[in-house]
Amino acid sequence: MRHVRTVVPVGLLLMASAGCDYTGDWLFAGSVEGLDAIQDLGELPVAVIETAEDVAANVYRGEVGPTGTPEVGGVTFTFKGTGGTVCVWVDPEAAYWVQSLSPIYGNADFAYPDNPFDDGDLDVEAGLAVFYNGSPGEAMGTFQVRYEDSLGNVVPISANECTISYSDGPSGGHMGRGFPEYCDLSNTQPGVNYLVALETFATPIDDDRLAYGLLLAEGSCQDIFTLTGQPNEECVIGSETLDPNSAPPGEIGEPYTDNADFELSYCASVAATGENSLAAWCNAESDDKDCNEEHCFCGNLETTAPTGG
Amino acid sequence: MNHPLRSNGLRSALLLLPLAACTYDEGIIVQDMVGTIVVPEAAATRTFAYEDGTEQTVTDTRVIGPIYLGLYASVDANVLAYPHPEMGPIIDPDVPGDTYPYGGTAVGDVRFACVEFLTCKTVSGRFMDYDAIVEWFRDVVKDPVTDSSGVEVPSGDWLKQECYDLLFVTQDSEVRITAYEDRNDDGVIDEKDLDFVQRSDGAFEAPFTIFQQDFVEGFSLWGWMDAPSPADQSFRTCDPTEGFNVAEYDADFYGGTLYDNLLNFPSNYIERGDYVASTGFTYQSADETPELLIDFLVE
Repeated sequence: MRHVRTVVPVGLLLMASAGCDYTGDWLFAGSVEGLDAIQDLGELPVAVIETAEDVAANVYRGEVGPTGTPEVGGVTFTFKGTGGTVCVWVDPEAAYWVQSLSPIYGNADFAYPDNPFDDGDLDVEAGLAVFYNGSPGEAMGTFQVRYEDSLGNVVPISANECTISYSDGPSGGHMGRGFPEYCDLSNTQPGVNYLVALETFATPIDDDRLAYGLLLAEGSCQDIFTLTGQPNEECVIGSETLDPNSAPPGEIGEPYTDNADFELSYCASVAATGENSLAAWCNAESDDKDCNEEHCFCGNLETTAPTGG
Repeated sequence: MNHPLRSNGLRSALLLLPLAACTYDEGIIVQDMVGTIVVPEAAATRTFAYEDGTEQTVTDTRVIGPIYLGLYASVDANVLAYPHPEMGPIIDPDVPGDTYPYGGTAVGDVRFACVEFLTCKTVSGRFMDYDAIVEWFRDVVKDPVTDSSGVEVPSGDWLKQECYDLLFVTQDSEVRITAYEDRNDDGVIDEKDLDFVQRSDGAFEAPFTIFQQDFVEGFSLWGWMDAPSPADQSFRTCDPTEGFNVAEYDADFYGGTLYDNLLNFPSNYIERGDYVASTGFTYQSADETPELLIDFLVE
């Protein structure tokens, strides 16, 4: 009888283990039917930007979804080196900010909360296509290569040439959700294939359809930023947030009609120009829309602390 | 009475007995590696030309800049205009290949010297005392040390007190610009306790230690000396915008600190007037004690 008491619990434990098929998929967003999670755009032309209007005219708009698994998704494309500097600029939807709550050191422009459910994040890497170890359109990869010195010791090094810049901070790393990432590839070799990988770090929680705007242009990103005259990077590529109701997944729809206005308010507030306060814009949006039924760029003031600014 | 083997003490002893005989050799050699570096007399000699048209040639440890030593896969005499460690691939055309050093050290550290005038101009192990700093710039360089108001620093004692005040310390061993310990055990702290000591053949030698180095058979020791700038005696390997920050009354400056990639990208910092080792020392054993000659003048 004592023997049975030992065997039974062990058997139950083994049965439970056999039924365990853990992948962790449930932790990740489900895939969106009709919207590929790993896309290859092929070769894109490098635009020549001479005026601010050229920027808008040369923006490529796209949409990417989650893989539905722990596998990393994203978008790749190639371009031919020009012999000079090439700017890669990517702006994922929409714009994210942290609400200002402090009554002492507050920022009134950001007193209204963000809608955190409509923001996505793409991380950019770029370099010579020959160093990319992914399979475009099939599996994302990296630019990590295996360097062996003359003693035979292996050093894993990154051939990623894209150092993310930011006008108001140090270079390197990746920008947070919703915020544009851009970098210069300097002295590109004429006619040689370069590859850009946009890795999907996060898709928007509300619809899992991550829209983005992409600019590939000759010259430095800083020069293009200056040319546009915008107060903040978020507004170089405008209206990248596409209305999912305007087109089925996999087709490029139209941006929300108030997207441009929203971004202008955001940029003006980041740059503290004293105009187009984001908080005022959000208040107006709250008055004009039923955010339970329609998409709102701003969050719900009632769910946050009452103070701010 | 319990059987003896049932006693916990005896059972523990029996278990520990085989463990005591266990020595597992991981095959990893990690140890301090020591040796000597030698700089020729010429590297410690400088001719100063003054505004009145006169000149003075001085041979002194204070001319010797910081020495950076690295352990590299190999040293290549042909890749640049001077011998240089082998480099990895060039990823960005504007950046030289990384040398991927195995380890390294420095002989002499660019130290915070307590007044903005001296930012990036003082190396540890070169100055006997604070007077030696003040006198060097006043009498030899002919560009006296000044305080934050632009007033000439009157003495070594003033500078010493400034250091103690700013750093909240009470001993020279905490400032570590000057000689502060009897390294040669002769009972006195003097010039012989600096990093470099002049030999009978005129060259200067200094011991070095690379602490807790992971040894790789066949790697090579190589190094270079960052000579002080002829223009203002500063060192190119020092970043004047970083380091100890002083923000008191009319003084607002950084004391300077070394860049963090000196061993990875030496060619970014080596310039005309610096000295490099013409040949590296290739190790076959971690116990070897090489004498590395920093003898190649970069022109």
